[in-house]
Amino acid sequence: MNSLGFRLHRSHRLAKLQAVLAIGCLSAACALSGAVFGRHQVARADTPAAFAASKTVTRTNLINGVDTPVESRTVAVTADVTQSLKDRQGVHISWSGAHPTGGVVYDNTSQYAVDQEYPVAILQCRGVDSATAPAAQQLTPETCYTQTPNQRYLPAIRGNFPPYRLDRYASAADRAYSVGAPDPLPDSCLFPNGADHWVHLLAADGTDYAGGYNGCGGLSPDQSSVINALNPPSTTFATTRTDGTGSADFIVQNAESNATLGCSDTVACAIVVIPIMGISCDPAATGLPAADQPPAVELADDTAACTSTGSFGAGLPGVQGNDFPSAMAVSGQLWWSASNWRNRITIPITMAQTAAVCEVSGGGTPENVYGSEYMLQLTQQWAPKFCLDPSLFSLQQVQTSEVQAKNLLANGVTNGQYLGVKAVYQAGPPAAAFSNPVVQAPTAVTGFGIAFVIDDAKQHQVTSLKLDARLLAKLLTMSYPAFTTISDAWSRLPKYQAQAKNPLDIVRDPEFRALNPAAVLPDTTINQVWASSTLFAMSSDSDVMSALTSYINADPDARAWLDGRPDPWGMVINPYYKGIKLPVTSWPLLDPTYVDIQNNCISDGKLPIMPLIAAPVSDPSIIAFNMQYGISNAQVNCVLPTGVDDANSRRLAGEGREQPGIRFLLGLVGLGDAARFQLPIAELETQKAAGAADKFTDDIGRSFVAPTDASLQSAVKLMDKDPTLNTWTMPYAKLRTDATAAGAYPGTLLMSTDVPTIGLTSTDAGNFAKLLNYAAGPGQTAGTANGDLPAGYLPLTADGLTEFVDFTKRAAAEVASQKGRVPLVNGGYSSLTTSSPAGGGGNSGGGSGAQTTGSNNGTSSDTGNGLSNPSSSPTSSGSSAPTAGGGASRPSALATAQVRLAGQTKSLGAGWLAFAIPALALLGLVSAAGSVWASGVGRR
Amino acid sequence: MTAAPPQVYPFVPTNPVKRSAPSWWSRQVKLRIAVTGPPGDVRIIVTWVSAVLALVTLWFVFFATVLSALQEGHNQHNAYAAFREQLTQLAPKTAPLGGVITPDAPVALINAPSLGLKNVVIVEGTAAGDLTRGPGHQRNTPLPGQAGVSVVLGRATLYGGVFSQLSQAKPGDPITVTTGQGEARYQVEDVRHVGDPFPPQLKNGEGQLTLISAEGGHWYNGWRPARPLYLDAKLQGSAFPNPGGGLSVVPQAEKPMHGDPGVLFSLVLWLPLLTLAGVLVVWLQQRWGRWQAWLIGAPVALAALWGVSETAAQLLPNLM
Repeated sequence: MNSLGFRLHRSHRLAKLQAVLAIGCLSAACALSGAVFGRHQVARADTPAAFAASKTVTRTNLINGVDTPVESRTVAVTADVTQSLKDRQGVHISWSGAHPTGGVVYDNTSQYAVDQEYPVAILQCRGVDSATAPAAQQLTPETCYTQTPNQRYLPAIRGNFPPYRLDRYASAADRAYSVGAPDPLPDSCLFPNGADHWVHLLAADGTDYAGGYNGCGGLSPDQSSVINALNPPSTTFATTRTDGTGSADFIVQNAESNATLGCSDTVACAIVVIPIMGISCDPAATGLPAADQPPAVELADDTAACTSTGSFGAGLPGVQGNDFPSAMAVSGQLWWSASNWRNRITIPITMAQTAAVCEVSGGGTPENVYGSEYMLQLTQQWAPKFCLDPSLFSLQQVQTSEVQAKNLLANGVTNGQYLGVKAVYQAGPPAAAFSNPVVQAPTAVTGFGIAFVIDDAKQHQVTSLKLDARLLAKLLTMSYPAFTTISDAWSRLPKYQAQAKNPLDIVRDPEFRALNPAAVLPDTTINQVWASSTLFAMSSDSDVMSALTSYINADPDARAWLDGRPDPWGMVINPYYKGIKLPVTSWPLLDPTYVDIQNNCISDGKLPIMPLIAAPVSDPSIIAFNMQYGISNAQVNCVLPTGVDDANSRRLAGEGREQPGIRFLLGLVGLGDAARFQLPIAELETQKAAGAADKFTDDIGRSFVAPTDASLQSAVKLMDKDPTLNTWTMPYAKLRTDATAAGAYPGTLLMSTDVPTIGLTSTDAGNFAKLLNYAAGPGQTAGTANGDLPAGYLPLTADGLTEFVDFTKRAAAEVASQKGRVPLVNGGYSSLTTSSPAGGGGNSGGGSGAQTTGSNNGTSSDTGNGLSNPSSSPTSSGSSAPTAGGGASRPSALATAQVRLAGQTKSLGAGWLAFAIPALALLGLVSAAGSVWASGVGRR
Repeated sequence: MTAAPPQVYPFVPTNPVKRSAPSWWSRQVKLRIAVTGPPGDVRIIVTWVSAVLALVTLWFVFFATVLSALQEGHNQHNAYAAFREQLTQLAPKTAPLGGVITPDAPVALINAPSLGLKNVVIVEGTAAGDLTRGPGHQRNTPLPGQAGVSVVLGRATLYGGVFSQLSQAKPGDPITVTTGQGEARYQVEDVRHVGDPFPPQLKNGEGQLTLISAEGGHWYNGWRPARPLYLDAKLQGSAFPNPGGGLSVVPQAEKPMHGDPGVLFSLVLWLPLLTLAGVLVVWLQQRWGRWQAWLIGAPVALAALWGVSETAAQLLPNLM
């Protein structure tokens, strides 16, 4: 009888064998899977305040016909720079003696800051503050610019007699029921209660914008009804601390970025600082028409509202949102009301003449100098002087990566003439000497700096920071995992086992905390930001990256850490960067690991996560912009530009503006940009004493230097002459050991202008000679006027730097004569060279080319490594100079050569897996044979 | 007509039933009851294990050398139909032009008579899995036709071996690549073996196409291609603009001569399926009969085998 049980019994042995095989397969699979799954403060402290004034501000009520003083304070205001201001320049304003702010909002430029109690309103206004000036040029609330219309419009949301109608100092017209409403009222402007106050905005061209609720009555093109994170405003409602002091970095705008204000070198403007004291009330309103007097039934309430001294205590944080219960009488919303307006302190400012004047009045065809963004501030300050001076010429700079510009200059000769790039600003020596006759004339001394925007545990901005080379190495090599999601993923990957235990970001790194004492550091329990694990730097080839990586490489502790040795607290370098050879001209993004952070955009393309956090940009001025406004560029924001959420429509975007109060940003900027935009710069470690502790808890035994005129000068004096490259080089190793170098700022850069001494037309040669002569003479006068040396640059005529000036003068003479002679750094002159192939073997892939000022070129420049051997490591052959083993030697210094990279195509290890097919075939045949044999033998 | 009732083999070790065994398979089955004692068990295991091993490995070799080409041909056919449609659309243009492109999307058509390539579709990505569909464009290089060095990888033997004739190119041979931006004409500069010097450096605005495949040496050429082979071609005419925004680094699995260890996870899922398929076949044979078992079980086993070998093939270097 066939039954299941009987059948099972009969095939018991079969089943057992099958089971054994199945289990064997499964366990093999499991074992396999187990084996498979195993990442000078510049110009701040040195200069005295350009403006200082103090004023007694009062609040006095008129109750029942009697003057009732509420309070009187003496506020002193200082501003650090007020003359020759440029667009987006930061003016540091500080005050003391003001009423402490209540209902504090940390983001002083946001639309909620106006609701604080007793803030200090800082506005940029057009006009002069003088009663004797013509009416059209006077400064009034109507000529003061606010970013949003809601900051100058008030509806009466509580009752018909809000405090501004009871202002004793306001004119009768200003105390009417509805003031300033446009007639006819636009439909979108109807507000429930009807009583309101409109402060118009008078544009420079005469247009009157009424404003109103969300701009319903007319909005100027520069305003917006909501503050846009990408268009940060400058209208500031600053917070006064409980001790009465406060400060703000106010960003001024000239007519190019704010046509409504229209401030320029011909239109007078001012920064108006209004310490809000509150409305001086006159509830009785005697002498006014009956309609403007509060009726008896609400008189008591209106009086109480008007005479209120605030509902928040001093220093207490406010609540953001629509129902912000601050007392209107003392809030920033009434900055325009006469009681507050009369307490204003006006800081007159003048704007510098911009290069826009060159387009109008001449100078002829501009001469373009290609090169470093770090010279941009200097060019912008020299250009207006150059184009208006008939003895000079029209100067323009085309911002390009220095390495690319030098390549273009080295290879740009066609038939003995330079047709494209004729002059280059470099920030460091070229990789190999120019083989065509080009002189590198020192033009300015500036440097790179690590700018920081950090708020401490008390939500105040940190003002000083110390960093050493190893910390910079940690930031650049993506060794901080940034978030626990990533460190968890790392702990599961065999390659990152040691790195998974690294501190999440620099704030939690004991080395950072030791150098910057805990009391002023951000609170690590607050939500962490992506940007605190990286240094925002540039992606393009740059002399600045060469200098920065040379500085890091010269520190033995940093070098040992880069080679893989853990730091005294156990942190290890990201495995993909271990042993990286420095210096490099472009920092490579080597970590290709994809980690799922629940971000659809990143998961779509399985994009490596660490390069997205680092997110370098090719244009260094973007770094300065982001640092000024506290914007993080980490590409972790998945946006839907078309609203459609699928793989083809999603896009990655930068993280955006960080929340003031909990910001952390570090960026690599030039000192010129830092001075103009008021970016604080960190102190860098220069030397370590012999007995200094390795596992340190403070900075004893280590010297840290900030960029100041003195420290830049020390560094420049230590530069060596390099006869092969024919320029000066910074001896980074000597900076660490030489006794005189302890006070030298290691980020110092000697900026030179590279000009050929043969092959230019006589006009061009003459113009560039004028540029060099100007740089060697009048151009080194420090100042803010056009033609002077701007802040952030050290004059070459300072003590001990005369050899640079002399060399530049000799260079100017050779450029003018165009005979092909090049002055040598050690004295004497060279002649036409006929040696081996061109230097400057940079990458030309990616099609990035030259950029005009201000534009951003988004292509990656790292494809150059795919040039000849796509599989080699990215730091190697692509940017090294070709040796003589490459191409043929050139017959003349001016002919272009076919440059080949040195070296040969390398082999790629295919590994043992390449044997797979033949090995498996062999195995299969052997198994088949074995199977047949075994069955044959077992036959009975 | 009903099938004959299954043969019943009484499990009585001392009374072996001798039956004529027309097929090797049933001989194996009979063996199970004919053998007693540990030595017999060992033989059974050896027989079974080697049989299964032979089956799987020989199947894998068969798949890799024969069936993979069929799969690639099918994928190319589909990709060509899809890409041709993308190319002919006027607006909106859906053929990718740059930036981060989804892996496996078709990006270009390559025509090179001297290499035996006619309307071959290049897909995005160079992981082993991407290259089973045809040549793959390396993601951190510009697209063909744009300035810079555009790198395309292709297999030498498996999956149709699209780039198997790379070494036969002569300098001056034309290569035409069509992308969403238009047609780009290249001229072969030279074929580069290991140890050859690099091609000349590109100037700004110039373009180059580098095709990478593998070559073997000596008598096992074609069976063990282990050395990389490069073909460099220079762009004739001006380059198309590059919208930028592409990757700067590719994962390890997408670099030349790398396998994709990421597929081990899938392999771990396929292997038990294969085992279950084998168990199913044998179990069905017990319950039903040989023919029935093979009718039902063969497709299942075949599918499982196909899945295992396709996944396992991605562990091999992507240029093989």
